[in-house]
Amino acid sequence: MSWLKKHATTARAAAVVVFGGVALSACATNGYVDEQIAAVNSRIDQVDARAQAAAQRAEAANTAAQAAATDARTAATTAQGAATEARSATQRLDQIEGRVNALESMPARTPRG
Amino acid sequence: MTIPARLKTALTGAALSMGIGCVGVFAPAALADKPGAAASTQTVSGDVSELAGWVIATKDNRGYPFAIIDKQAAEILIFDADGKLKGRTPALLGSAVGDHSAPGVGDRELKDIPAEDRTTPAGRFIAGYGPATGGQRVLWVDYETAISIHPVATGNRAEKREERLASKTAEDNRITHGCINVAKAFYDKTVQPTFTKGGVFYVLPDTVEVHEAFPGYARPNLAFSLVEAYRIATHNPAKGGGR
Repeated sequence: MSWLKKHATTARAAAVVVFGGVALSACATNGYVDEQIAAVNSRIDQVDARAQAAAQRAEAANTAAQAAATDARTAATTAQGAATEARSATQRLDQIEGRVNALESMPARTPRG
Repeated sequence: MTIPARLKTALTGAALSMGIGCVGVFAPAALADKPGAAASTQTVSGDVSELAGWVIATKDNRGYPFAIIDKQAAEILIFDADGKLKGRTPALLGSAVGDHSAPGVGDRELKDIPAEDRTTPAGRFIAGYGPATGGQRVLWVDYETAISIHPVATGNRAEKREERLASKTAEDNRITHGCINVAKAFYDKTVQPTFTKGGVFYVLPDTVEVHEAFPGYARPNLAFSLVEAYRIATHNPAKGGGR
């Protein structure tokens, strides 16, 4: 105890220095962490923004692809319709010619006046 | 159906280019063979001009000459394969009003056909020459129902067919058992040479709707058909000009 009494002032000063340092150190640590968190958050935000942009581009690409597929199907349907129409026209032409030719060899009958 | 003004203008030009009055007036006065008729101002029904435009636009005649018979007006219009009007004349038609043929009517003797079955059926028919009784060849419009088109029959004077054909009205033109009669001069000059190798006959109906008589024909196609007819008339002067 005598030693403490003798060096009380020094001890208090040392304690102040130690606790102060610790406190200052703690303050520095909190600031550092906040900075780090902010930096990480910023990077996360950037990554998130890029991800969202990429997702939007992918969605847009998907929509475009679907539209292209729809257009392709429509074009195919139109082409099929045109082909069917062409075949139908050819068949009808053949039918007319065949029908006209067939009439020449039909049995004679009496017209209805 | 209301036709937009601009379209009607285009269609009128197209129709007139083809010799068809869009409002029903035929330009070629010499085409009307009915004596005493006001040929230059004779009108045709909207059904006739619309059907003609549709046939030309859709090429429904498939490269063959065609005829349109307007039963209500009792007349026939003859077109060549390109849609050019070649002639127009009154016609005698079946005495019964109706658009269908009774089953088996083509196999009956004329005297055995009841009055109500003496119809000229409506519809699209592929016509061609073929044998008839008595060693004759006739232009069959519908062989199955024994409908042909031929020069006016004068065997029964009491029917006064020539007089009916020459009269100004259409009401007295319904006298046949179903066949289509035209003046002999018109038949010899226009019908026979036009349909030597066959053709398509469109007989407009008495009572049913036009689109019922012609499968594939629909009034909503009018704009398309007439615009297309306009294109044909204006872009193919070799075929459509000088009408």
